Amino acid sequence: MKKINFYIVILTLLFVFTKCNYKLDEPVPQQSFTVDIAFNTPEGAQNAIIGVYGIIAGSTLYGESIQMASDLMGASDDFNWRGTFFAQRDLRNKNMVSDNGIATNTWITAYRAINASNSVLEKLDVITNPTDKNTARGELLFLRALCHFDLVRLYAQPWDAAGTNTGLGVPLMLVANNFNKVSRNSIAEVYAQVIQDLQNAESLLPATNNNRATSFAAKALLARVYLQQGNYTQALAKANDVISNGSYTLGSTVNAVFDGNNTPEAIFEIQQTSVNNAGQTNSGLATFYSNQNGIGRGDIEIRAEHLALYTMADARLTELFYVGTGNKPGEQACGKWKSPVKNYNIIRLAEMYLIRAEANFRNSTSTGATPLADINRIRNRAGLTNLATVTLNNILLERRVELCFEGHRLHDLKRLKQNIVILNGTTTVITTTFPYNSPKAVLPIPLREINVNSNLVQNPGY
Amino acid sequence: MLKKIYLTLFLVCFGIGISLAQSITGKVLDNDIKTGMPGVSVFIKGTTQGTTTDVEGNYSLASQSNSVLVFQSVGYTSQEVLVGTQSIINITLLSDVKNLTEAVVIGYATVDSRDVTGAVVGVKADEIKDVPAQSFESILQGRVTGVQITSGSGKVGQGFNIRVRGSSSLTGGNQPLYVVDGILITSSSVNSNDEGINPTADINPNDIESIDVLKDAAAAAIYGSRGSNGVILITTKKGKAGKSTFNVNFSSGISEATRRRGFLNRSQYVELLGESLRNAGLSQVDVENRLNVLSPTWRDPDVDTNWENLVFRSGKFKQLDVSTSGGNEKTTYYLGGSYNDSEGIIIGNRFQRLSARLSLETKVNDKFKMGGSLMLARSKNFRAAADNGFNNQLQLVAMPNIQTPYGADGKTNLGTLYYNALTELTDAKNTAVTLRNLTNIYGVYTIIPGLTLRSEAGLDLMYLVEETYNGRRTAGNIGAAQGLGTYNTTLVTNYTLTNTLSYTKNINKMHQIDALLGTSYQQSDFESSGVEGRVFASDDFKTIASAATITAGSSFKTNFNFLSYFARGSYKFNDRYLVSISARLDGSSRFAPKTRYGFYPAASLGWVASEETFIKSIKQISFLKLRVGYGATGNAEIGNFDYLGLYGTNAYGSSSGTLPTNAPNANLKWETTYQFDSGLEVSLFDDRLSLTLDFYQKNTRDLLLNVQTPSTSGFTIQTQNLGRISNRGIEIDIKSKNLVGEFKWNTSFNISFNRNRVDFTNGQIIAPGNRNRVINEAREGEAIGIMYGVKYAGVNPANGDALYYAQDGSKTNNYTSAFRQQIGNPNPNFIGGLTNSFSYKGLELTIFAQFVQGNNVYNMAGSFMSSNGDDYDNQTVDQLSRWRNPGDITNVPRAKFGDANGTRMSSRYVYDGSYLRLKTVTLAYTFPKSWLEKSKLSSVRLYLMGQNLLTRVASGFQGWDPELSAGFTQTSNQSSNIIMGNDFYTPPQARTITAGINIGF
Repeated sequence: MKKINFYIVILTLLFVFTKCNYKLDEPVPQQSFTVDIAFNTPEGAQNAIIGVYGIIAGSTLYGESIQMASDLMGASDDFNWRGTFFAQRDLRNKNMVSDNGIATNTWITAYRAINASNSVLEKLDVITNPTDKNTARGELLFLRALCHFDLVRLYAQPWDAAGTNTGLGVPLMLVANNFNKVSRNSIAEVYAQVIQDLQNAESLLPATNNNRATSFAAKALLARVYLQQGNYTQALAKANDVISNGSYTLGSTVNAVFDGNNTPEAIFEIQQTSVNNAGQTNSGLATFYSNQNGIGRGDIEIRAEHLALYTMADARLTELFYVGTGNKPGEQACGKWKSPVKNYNIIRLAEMYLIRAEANFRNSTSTGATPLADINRIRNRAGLTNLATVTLNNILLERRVELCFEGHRLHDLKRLKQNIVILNGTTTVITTTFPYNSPKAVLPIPLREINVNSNLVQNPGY
Repeated sequence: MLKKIYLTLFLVCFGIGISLAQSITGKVLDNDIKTGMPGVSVFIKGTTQGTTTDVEGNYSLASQSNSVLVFQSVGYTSQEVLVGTQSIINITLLSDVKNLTEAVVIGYATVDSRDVTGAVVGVKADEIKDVPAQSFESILQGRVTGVQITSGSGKVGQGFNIRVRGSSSLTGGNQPLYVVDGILITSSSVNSNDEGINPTADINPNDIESIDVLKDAAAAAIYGSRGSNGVILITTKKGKAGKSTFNVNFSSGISEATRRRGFLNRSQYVELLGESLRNAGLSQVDVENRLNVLSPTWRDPDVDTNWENLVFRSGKFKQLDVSTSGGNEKTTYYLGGSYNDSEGIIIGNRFQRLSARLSLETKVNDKFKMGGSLMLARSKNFRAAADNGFNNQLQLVAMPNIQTPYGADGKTNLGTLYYNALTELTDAKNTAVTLRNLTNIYGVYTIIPGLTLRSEAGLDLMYLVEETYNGRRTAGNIGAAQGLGTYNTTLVTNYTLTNTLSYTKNINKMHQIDALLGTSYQQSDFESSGVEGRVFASDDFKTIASAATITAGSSFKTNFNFLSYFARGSYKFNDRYLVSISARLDGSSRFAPKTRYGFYPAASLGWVASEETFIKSIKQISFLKLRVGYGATGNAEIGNFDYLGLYGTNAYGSSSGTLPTNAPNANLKWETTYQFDSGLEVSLFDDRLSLTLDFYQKNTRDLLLNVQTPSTSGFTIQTQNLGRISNRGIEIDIKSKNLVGEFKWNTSFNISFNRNRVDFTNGQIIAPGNRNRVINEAREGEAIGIMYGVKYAGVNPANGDALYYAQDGSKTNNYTSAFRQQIGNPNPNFIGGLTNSFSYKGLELTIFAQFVQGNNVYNMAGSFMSSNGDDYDNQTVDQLSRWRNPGDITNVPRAKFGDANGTRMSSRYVYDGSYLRLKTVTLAYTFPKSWLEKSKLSSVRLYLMGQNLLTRVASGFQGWDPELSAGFTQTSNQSSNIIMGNDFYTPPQARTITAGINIGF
C-alpha cells in the first residue's frame, strides 16, 4: 500500500513537470514580431516603409519640433512664447541646457527614423517587382536625407557658402543597427550625403506616389538644400524643374493649402487623421499655435511687429491670423496650424517660386520666369497688387511673410548672415540680439548622447 | 517532559497508585466568554479512549484514578488533569494566544517563530483592525521593520510603493511578491492610463488574519526568482473548530486633507502679477489690459475665489463587515461579506467595494483533507484625474483668484486661465470597476504519518472596466469632438499550480527533521481592449453606442509563465541547534531559451542559546536566539519579450506600419540578489521586554538594466545584465510590557535603517522620465533616485536675480553655467513606528506614530506655483516675500514675467520630506461579559479612531503632505524605482476620524 502511494506521488509530480515543460516555451509576442517575420514578404517591407513615415510624422520631428524649434530660435522677434514649458521657452531665449527636452527627443527620433530606413534598405531584396523596389529605395533615401539635413541644420554651425565646412556636422548613419560610438561627420560630408541620397531618390521615385515622397518632393527638397548652401544655380534648376514639370498649382486662397489635405499646392505633407496625428493636448503644431475654444494651448502669441510686416489688404494678414478665443483669449494667433487632425505641410509650391525668384535675382537670370513675375504671382494670390520692380529685400520680405511659422526663419537668417533678435515687452520693447552664427542658436548635442558616446563632441557653449 | 517528572513525583510522594475504574463528568468552559464549549475532545492520555463535548460543553467519560485527561480544542491551550478521586472535572480552556502570535507563515509552511532561521516579520489581525483603509498596505506602514511603504497620494484606492530592505533593481520591478493563501496574485496596476489602480484594494483588510513578510534570502529563496524584493504572505481568516460565532462590524467616519497650503488672495495676486509684468517692460495700461483679459471684474473685491477650498472637501468613510465562522473537528468554515464606501477628500473621488469570502476545510478521512476559499469582490473607483492632467482638480490652485468658478448661468466658467476642472464633476465621467475573484482549492494527503502531499490550484481573475466620457464643455473633448467616450477592458488571469511533498520526523525528541519538495507553475495571461467614440448626440448619452463615429479601437494580449522546482530541508537538534537549507530552480519565458533557468540556494543556521544550561541559569533571560543566513534570490520583473529583436506597429495617416521596437539580446538572464542576514532575538524578564535585531547586506548582480545605447543606433535602450546595486541595513524591534496586571501598558518600537548604493552601471547615468520635469537619477556610487541638478544659492540682494552655485562654489545668475550636483536624496535615513497601548478592564487606548526621516521630496510644480509671479498662475503665499528693492535680503527672486528668474529645476524646490505622523489613535471599549449575559450577545466593542491626526513635517517643508509619489511618474518599473518623492499637484493624505461598533453573537 505504501509503495503504491509513493508511486502515485511520483506520477503526479512527473505529470505536472512534463506538462509545464511543454508550456514554458509557449508565449510568443502578439503585438510585435521578430525581425525575420517582419521582412519575409514584400508587404512586410512595405509596412516597414510606412513605419518610417509614421516616425517622421511624430511630434518630435515633422509633426511639430523640426519646424517649431527653428521658429522658436529664429523667429523670436515674430512671436512671444506664452506657455509654461521650459524647453520651448529656453529655445526662444536661446539659453538651452544640454538636456533640453526638444533637443534630446528630436535627435533620438530623427536617428530612429534613419535607422528604420536603413533597416528596410538592407532588406529590399524581398521586394521582387523592380518598379516597386525602386520606389521603395527612393522613398527611404528621401526620408533619410530629410532627417540628416534637418539634423545638420539644427545641431551644427550653419553652412558657410564661402568656407570649407569642415566643422562638426552630425553623425551620418548609413547602415542599420550600428551600436558603435560614432563620431560626428563634417558639415560638408553631411550635405554631400544628403545631396547624394536626394539625387538617387529623384531618379528612383515616380512623379506621383499616393501622397508619399515623389521625385518632385526630392527635387524640391534639393532646391531647399542648395539654397541653404548658397548654390543658387542648382537651387534655381531644381525649383524651376518642380514648377515647370510638376503638376502643382498655387492654391486659390492663401489658406487653402493649410485648411485642406493634399491640395494641388502641396509637394510633401505629413498625413494626419483624427486617430493618427502628432498630438492634440501636449504636442503637435496645432497644440501650440491654435488658440480656439477647445483646441490648442495658444502658447504662441504673434507679436505686433510681425503683423506690421503686412499691409492691411494682405489676405495672409486677414486670413492667417486671428484673435484667440481659446486658452489665451484675446491674443493674436497664427492660423496656419489650426487643426491637429489635418495634414501638416512640409514643402509647398510657393516656396519653389520664392527660391526661383531669389536665385534668378542673385544670378541675374530669368529662368522660367522673372523674379518680379514670381513675386507678383505670390502677391496676387494674397490679394495684393503687382509690384513694378523688385529688389532682393522685396523677395526676402515676401519669403518671410509667405513662409512664416513654417520652420524657415532660423535657417534663412543663418544663410543670409542676419542677426537673430528676441523682442520682449509691448510698450517698452526689449531687444536682444545674437549674431547669425551664435552658438546659442545651435541645439546642443543631447546630454544623454554625450554620456553614452564618448566620441561625440559637444557644441560650443554647452 | 518537565510535566511528566512533576507528575511522577506527585504520584510517588502522595502514594496514590491505586487504579479504580470510575465515571467522570464535567463541563468545559471558554475562558473568554464563560460559556460551555462544544466539540472539545476529551481523552485519556496515551490511549485512544475519548469523547467530545456536547453543545453545552458537557462530557462524560469512563476512566481510572491514575488516568490523565487531556482537553484539546483548536485555538486553545490543551490542559491535562489527573483524575485522582474526582468524579466531576470542570475545566476552563484558555484561548491559545501565545500559539497564535508565534505561528509564522513561511513559504509553503507554517512554523513556530522560535524555529525560524530567516528574517520574517508579521502582523496579526488584532493589530490592524479598526483602521479605515481601502487596502492593507497603509495598515502595515510603520509597523514592521525593513518594509518601507509610501502611499502615492491621498486619492482613495491609491497604489503604494513598497520596498522590502531597499531597492535591489534599477530597471526591473522592485515591488514584493504577493501571495494570498498560497496564490501568487496580480499586484501591479494594469489600468490603461497614468493613474494607477491598486489591485490589492480588492482584498478587504478585515478578511486578513495575518501578514508575514519574508525579508532575507534564507526566508525568500523558496520563492527563488521571485524573492529578491521580499515576499508578502497574506493569510486570510479561517474558521476554527468550536462554537459558531457571528460577528458584525460597522464603522463610519469623516476625513479632511492633512493640510491646505494657502495661495494668494485677490489683492496679493494683482499686486504681484502687476509688479511682475511691469518688471518685464509692460506699462500700467498694458498690465491692466492683461488683467482685463483674465477677468473684466478683476477690480471687484468680491471676486476672490479660493480655488484650493473648492478642490478639497470633507470625505466620508463607511464600512460594514458581517462574518460567521466555526466548525467542528472535521469541518471548519468562515463566511464573510463586506461593504466599503470611501469618499475621498478631493472632489469627485470615491471608492466602493463589495466583497464576499468563503473558506472551507474538511477532513474527508484520517488521511485526506480538502479545503479551499473563494473571494469575490467588486470595486468601483470614481477616479481623480492623473496629477499631470489639466483635468486634475488639484491643478485648479493654479487659477487666478480674480476668475470665478461659475458663470452667471450656473455652469462652470470656461474662460479661465487653464481648463476649469470643476467641469469634470458635471460634464465628465471617469470610472473604473474591477471584478476580482481569488479562488484556491487544495488537498492534503497523508501518505504515511509525517509524509504529506499537498496539491493546490489557485486562480486570480481580474476584470477591469474603465469608462470615460468627456462632454462638450470638457478639456477631454479634444479637437472639438462633440463628446468623446472611451471604454477599456482588461482581463488578467493568473493560474498557480503547486504540489509539495513534505516530511516531518522527530527522532528521540532530539532530532527534528523537516523536508519539503515541490514544484510550482504559474501562468499569467493579460488581455485588454479599448474603443473610443466621438460625436455624441448630447452629453446625456455617454456610452459608445451613442457615438456617431468610432475613432479608435484596439486589443492587446501578452502572457508569461514560470516553472519552478524547489526543496527545503531543516534540522533541529535538541531544541537549540537549527539548520535550514533551501533551493529553487526557476524557468521563465521572459528569458532566452539557453539562459532561461536560474538556481537559487540558501542556507541558514540558528542557535537557541536560552536552551543551554549556562544561559538557563540566568533568570532574566527568558529567550535568546542567534541566527545567520545567506542565499540567492532572483528577479525577472521585466517585459515579457525583452530578449527578442522585435518589430512593432505604428500608424501613418490611415495606414498602419511597422518599426523596430526592441533591440535583441540573446544572452538575457536573471538578475540575482545575494543576501546575508544575521539576527538576534532576545526576551528578558519573563518576556516583559523583547528585542529583535537584524543586520543584512544585500548585493544584487547582473542587474536587468535598460542600458542606454547611443541613439544613433536607432534605439535608446537595450535590456542587458549589467550593473550592481547593494543595500545594507539594521532593523531593531523592541516590545515591552511596561505595566501588567489590571492596568496594562505595552510599548512597541521599531526602526529600520537602510543604505542603498548603485555600485556599478558602467558609468551610465539612468535618468528616466521627462527631463524637463524630473530630477531623479541613478548614478554610480550614489543611492538610487538621488536628485541631481543645479543648487539654488538664493537671491542677489543687488538686483533680485536668482543665483546658483557654479563649480568653484561661486554664485552665478546664469542657470546654464551652474554646476550640476547632487541636491537631494529621496531615500530616508530611517523609518519606523512607535505604538503605545493602554488597557484597563474593557477600555483600551492605542496610540501609533509612524516616522520617516532624512528623505527629500521635490515639488515639480514649484516652477508654476512658487515662481515669484513668473506667469499668470496663482502663487503660494511665501512668494510675497520676493525681492523688491536693492538691498532686500530674501530667498524669493525678483518678479519678472516670463523671465524664469529662479523658477528652473533646482534645489529651490527640494524639501526635507521627513515626517512624524500620529498615524492612528484608537479608543475602544469592550463591554464586560456580565452586562451582556441577559442579551444574546457574546461581545460588544465600541471604538473611536483617528487616523493621521497630526503630521509633523520638517521646517522648510512647503508642500501639502510629504508622503507622496506623483502617479504619472510611476508608469514603468524604471521610473517608479528612480523617480521617488515627487509632488505635482498631488493630493495629500487624509485625516480621518471614524467611530465603529463590533458585535459578536
